[in-house]
Amino acid sequence: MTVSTLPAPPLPRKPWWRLMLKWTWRVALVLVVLGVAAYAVLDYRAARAIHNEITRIRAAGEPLTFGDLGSLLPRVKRDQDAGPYYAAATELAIDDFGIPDPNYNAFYGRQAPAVSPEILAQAHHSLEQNRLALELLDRGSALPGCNADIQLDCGIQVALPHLRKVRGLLDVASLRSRVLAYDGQGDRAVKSIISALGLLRIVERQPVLIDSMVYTWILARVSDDTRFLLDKGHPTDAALQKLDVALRSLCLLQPRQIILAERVYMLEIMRDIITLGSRTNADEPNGPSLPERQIMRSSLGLRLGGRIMTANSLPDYARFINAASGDWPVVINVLQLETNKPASHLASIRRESWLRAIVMAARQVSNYRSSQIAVRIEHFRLAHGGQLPDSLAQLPNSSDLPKDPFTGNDLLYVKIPDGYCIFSAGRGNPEDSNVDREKDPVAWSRRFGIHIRLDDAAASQRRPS
Amino acid sequence: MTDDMEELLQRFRPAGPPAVLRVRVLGCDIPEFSFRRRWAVWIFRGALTPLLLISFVLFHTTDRLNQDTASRIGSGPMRWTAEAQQAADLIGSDPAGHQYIVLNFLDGSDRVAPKSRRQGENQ
Repeated sequence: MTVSTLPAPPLPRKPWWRLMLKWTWRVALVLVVLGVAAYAVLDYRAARAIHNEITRIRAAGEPLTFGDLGSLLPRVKRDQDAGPYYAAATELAIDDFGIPDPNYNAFYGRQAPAVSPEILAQAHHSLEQNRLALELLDRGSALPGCNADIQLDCGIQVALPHLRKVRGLLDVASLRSRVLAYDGQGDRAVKSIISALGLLRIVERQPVLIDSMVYTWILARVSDDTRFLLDKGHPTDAALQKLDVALRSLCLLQPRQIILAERVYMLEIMRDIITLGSRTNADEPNGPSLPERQIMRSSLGLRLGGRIMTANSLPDYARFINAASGDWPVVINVLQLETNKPASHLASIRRESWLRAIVMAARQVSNYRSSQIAVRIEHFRLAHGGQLPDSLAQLPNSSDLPKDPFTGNDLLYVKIPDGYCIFSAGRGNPEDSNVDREKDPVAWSRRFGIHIRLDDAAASQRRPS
Repeated sequence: MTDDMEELLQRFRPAGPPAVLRVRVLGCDIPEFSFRRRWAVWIFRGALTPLLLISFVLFHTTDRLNQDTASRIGSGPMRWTAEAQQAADLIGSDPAGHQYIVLNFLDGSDRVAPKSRRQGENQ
């Protein structure tokens, strides 16, 4: 027997599951290591981009925190601070008059006011209910400064109800101005409008987008109150001069301030998520923050995503802040060009929102500036026996008249059978309005200016002071 | 006799079984170390190790960068303090409670944003 002639036995094969287990382990190991490496690289790149941008912002002296933002406006001593009065007034105001439609339409409708005795009685009752709130508002507005803000640093869940209450207080103040104007107490109505103007100070310290929209809403409401006053109030020349001075002395929010505040708000929201230090107290890093922020802080993936988003967003903010640094109307055109540039989906949404807010702000600025001119026209009428000027050039100091925020030219002035309109030419974008300015200047001026109805009987009652 | 045995043993050294028989008995080849045969494994290990090392270095650098960034940003205003949180918890720490605290107790207080360390250094 020879051994060499025997056939070799088949080699024993390893079980398939061992093979699978071996390769699964290898693939998992590779994936984990690659994941860790990718996380490290992405995190590093985002952190470096954020670091460079923050360094640049700090060097440029631009605000990075709510503290920086608040210190852009001067703070006053406590005895000169309107903030506590406004805080108390907003808490006390009961804004229930405009809830039934007939009440609202009577004073705020597009047609000439048709106030029935019942509605007028309800308005007086509402004002009586709000007597203390209005008194506090007047006291606050008489003070030279306001340290209050909308408390955005306590979270949006605190700021939004606060903004709603500010709006409520303004509604009450606006009702007072209109009721006084309707009752023929024009001079007191002027005081009421000037008092309401002071509320703008609450919202100008943290002018993020939503805040700036309330700001423009206040401006629009005050402009409309002025229109109502000129329609119905018959103020004296002295009162008109006071109103003119108050309107001219307003220092309106600039688009750049809005986007600067937006960047601060974004950083303040993100800093907890991307663990860039406590938002509350540097001396107490583990101290309390807002509860929802602490929950968000725990997720690793959210942190990386937040950092990448912040790193990508900061240059976009910087570009928009630069674009928004001009004055009207240049700023609208530059922002439009910036918005048209290709960008990521998130950046496109952000740019669109900013542009819309800026265009809306420009519209309210045109309302406000038209109101200023209307007050000057009323001066002119008082001095010229009720005659309207043929053009704005006839007004005294006509070269100082405010310009159209959309075109930079003079605002447009049109005499119509029942009065006159002053309005902006708009930016010529069909999205803004489908009204033909030439054919229907009244409808156009509801969005872009002011329409004053002349009442001959009322005009004859107006007397120079 | 002993010398004969030794001589015989020296002349006829024991030899292993033939290779075919070895396979038959042991069932497999005896693995021998060979770098050529296992190059893929060594590349795999050689790639993963520096990748991990670089990752840890990057983590460390990122952490330092973030600390520096945080010091440049500084902290926010101190409106919401431990006392405020305690007071809010006492009255019910819902948003309305927070707002009440902020409006009534903290709004009039002097709130100054503490300067960041880096900001202080620059000044």
